[in-house]
Amino acid sequence: MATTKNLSNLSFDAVKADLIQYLKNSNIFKDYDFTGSKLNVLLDLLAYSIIYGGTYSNAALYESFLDYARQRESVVALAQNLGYVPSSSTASSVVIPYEFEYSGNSIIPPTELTIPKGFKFTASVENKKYSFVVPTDTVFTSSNNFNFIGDLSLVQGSFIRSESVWKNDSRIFIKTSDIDRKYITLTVNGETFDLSDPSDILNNNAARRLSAEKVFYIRETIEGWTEVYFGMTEDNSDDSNNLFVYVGGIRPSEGDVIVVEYLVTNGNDADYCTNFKAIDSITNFKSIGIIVEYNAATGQKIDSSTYYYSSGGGTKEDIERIRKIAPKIQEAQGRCVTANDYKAFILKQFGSDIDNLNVWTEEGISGRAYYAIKPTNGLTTSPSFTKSINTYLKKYNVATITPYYVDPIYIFINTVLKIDYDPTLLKISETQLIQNIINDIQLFYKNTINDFGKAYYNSRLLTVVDNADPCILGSACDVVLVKEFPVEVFWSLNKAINTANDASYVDIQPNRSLYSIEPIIYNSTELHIESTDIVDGTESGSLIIGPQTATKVFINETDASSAGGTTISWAETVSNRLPVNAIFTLTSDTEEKSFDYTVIEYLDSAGTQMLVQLTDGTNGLDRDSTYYAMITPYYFNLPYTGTDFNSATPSGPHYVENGVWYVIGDINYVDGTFRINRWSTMTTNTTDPSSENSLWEDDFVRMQIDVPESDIYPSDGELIVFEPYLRPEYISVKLNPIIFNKKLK
Amino acid sequence: MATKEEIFYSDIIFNMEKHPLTSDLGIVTNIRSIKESIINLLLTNYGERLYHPEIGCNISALLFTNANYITAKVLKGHIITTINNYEPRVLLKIVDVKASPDTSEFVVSITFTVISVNIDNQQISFKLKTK
Repeated sequence: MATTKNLSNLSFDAVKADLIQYLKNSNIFKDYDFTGSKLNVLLDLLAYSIIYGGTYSNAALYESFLDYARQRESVVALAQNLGYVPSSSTASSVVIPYEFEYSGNSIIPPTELTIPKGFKFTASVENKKYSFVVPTDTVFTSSNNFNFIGDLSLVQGSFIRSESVWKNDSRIFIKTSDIDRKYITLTVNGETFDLSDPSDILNNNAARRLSAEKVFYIRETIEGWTEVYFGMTEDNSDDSNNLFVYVGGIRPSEGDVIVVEYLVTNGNDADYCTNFKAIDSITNFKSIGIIVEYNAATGQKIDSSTYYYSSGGGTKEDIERIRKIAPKIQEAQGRCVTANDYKAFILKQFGSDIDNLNVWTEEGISGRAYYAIKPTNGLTTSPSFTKSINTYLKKYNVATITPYYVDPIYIFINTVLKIDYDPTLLKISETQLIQNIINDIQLFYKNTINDFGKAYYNSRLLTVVDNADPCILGSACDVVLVKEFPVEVFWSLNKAINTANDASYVDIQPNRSLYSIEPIIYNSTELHIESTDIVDGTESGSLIIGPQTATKVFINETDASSAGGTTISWAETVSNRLPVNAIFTLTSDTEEKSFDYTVIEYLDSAGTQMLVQLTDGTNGLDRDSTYYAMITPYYFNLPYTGTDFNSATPSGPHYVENGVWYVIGDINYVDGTFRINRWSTMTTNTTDPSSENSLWEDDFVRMQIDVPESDIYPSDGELIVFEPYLRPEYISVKLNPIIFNKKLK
Repeated sequence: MATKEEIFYSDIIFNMEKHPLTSDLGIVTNIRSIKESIINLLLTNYGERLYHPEIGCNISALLFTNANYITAKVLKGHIITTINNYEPRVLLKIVDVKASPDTSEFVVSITFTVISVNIDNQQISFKLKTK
């Protein structure tokens, strides 16, 4: 018998061969290697037993490491050891302006109305109804003795209450995995205890809690449930100085009544719910509904039932994200200092809504940390979402650093695929084949380019396309790069160029502070255009933007700079652009600060004036500064009429029909630069720029450019994306059937 | 030729009885060992052996059919294939499967030679009853 064993081989046949080798040293049983012998059957069982045990031990060992664990419960348990409690489902939420009317008989109605926690509403999305509840008692005051109006916060789900009597060895579980842990409340004999998030290392560390504090803690169990636990009341253990065994907070006494209330939610299934209707009632009060708004121009009622929709719902935290964030949260030690810290904190709290996140700082600009987010659904984030991120980060970051959200600039790759296929091998419809190809491309992007700064390689894409179906014989594709700029960003580019008085060569760098413009020639590694791509023998073409709506025009702002106090107003002649409560930003050209304003009222029904109010608590505007409404750019008056751009009249899938495109510069096909040289012309009469959302077909402008060099290396901070549902115009598949002549085969 | 005392094949006894004198695990040797091995193979169904589902004769699948000439031919083929594949110690000489429709059974008789020691005309006979 060999004295050393190879323990690494855990295949059935190898283990059995090892056992047979051992038996060869014995003279008693000799039939070990004949398949039909009973000894051979026993060896099978023995080998099976060995590999079963070995495989189990191996898997168990793997499950004990955060990097390799495959079971969610293992990852969660290991993350919790690092002080990170993975986030639960998140309830979709909405704030609606709501009205109640006093319907009682009293001559003197009450001055306040309390809408109790748990007051129920229903709302629907795609014919599915969901229940919404008021998360906390909300007080409305009367506006005219009979009408009670206010903003009502709603969260999706239902509150469940469970009551139990505490024993010393009690454990309290919330036996469902679909809860939003933010809304857990707990009372002990009627006394409210506060939820202490153990992952909040800085503020709510269990070891820092005093023994007399009324707090409770939560953790996720291996079943995916939530366990509620308490502190130790006082540390009377032998090793009282050992913080590892100390948990601050009062522990209930035997016989105490524990009441736990929690919110069971449907997560992101209930996003985009509209038509909120109260189904509970309050004695002596009648529910009127969401406050009716009026069209400023026509005076007509606006159907506001669909204005307000729920958002922000999320599923339980994915294990891959837990694996990624937990060590970073521990590394951050409760403080946002490095870019990784910011990433960890943002993803921890808002990760279910974030697909990609980039955080950076700028050399020479102190006091600012920038972050850009590609949301899970769609391409843009709401101002309220980024505002809540900023508020959250304030608790953890260094006091002198202010986080700024910057919209990411996406690079879309407009791909025209030409595919030869053998129709005799096609087992599905052509439509299905195209859909399968698009699905495979989407997977390719998800697996290989799913991060800021990741490069795109055309040959790899074509490999994916070639393997999409056995009938595909070969493929080729043309690549056009497209950058989309939000309209307000485009306007700031415009303004910045005017300020710099240098409109020669520009590069739009998304990750610079507030999209600063720098005179720079395009780096050939970013946008490489070869001289072989000279169109029609010329060396340059026009750079155009658009499409704009041809039928609408901008108006000149008349009174934007005369604001003072807390309100600002200006003339409006185009109807129905900004709903009441829309939030937008005003920016001064003399100082780099911006304020959030809320439209609170149209002064008259004709919509000739609009009133906006500061919502961030700042004490008004500086009368000496000119403030621009940064919503849309001014008009350009230079519609594109030529045919030199890409040797074609703008039409087809990349252009919106009837839209107007404007020339803003030219492209040099030889050295790969593009030049924006029409700014000054475009911005004539823009001393007091106004805004007009509806001027544009889309709320963004596009710049696109042919790229013969098909490998794309985005600059740091740019994100290449593929969104076949949001931007179906950026992918087209042309199938070309090839019929083989059998004689040639 | 091997002497009477020489043991060239040995295996655990079929029912795992202990030896009446030594109380050790019972052992079968030589020809009996081979015969028990053949019976064991023929009574093994596909999928019974761990990690080797192809080992076996799958006789039981045929015992749900009528005991007729055709089934007997198929059964015979299965037996020959199994023994040739998994029992290298023997050389088959005759495999006879007779169907008895009246009693719903097959009478199987296998005659073989043990190759290495050249023991000729060994025979196994048994009945298989259809269900």
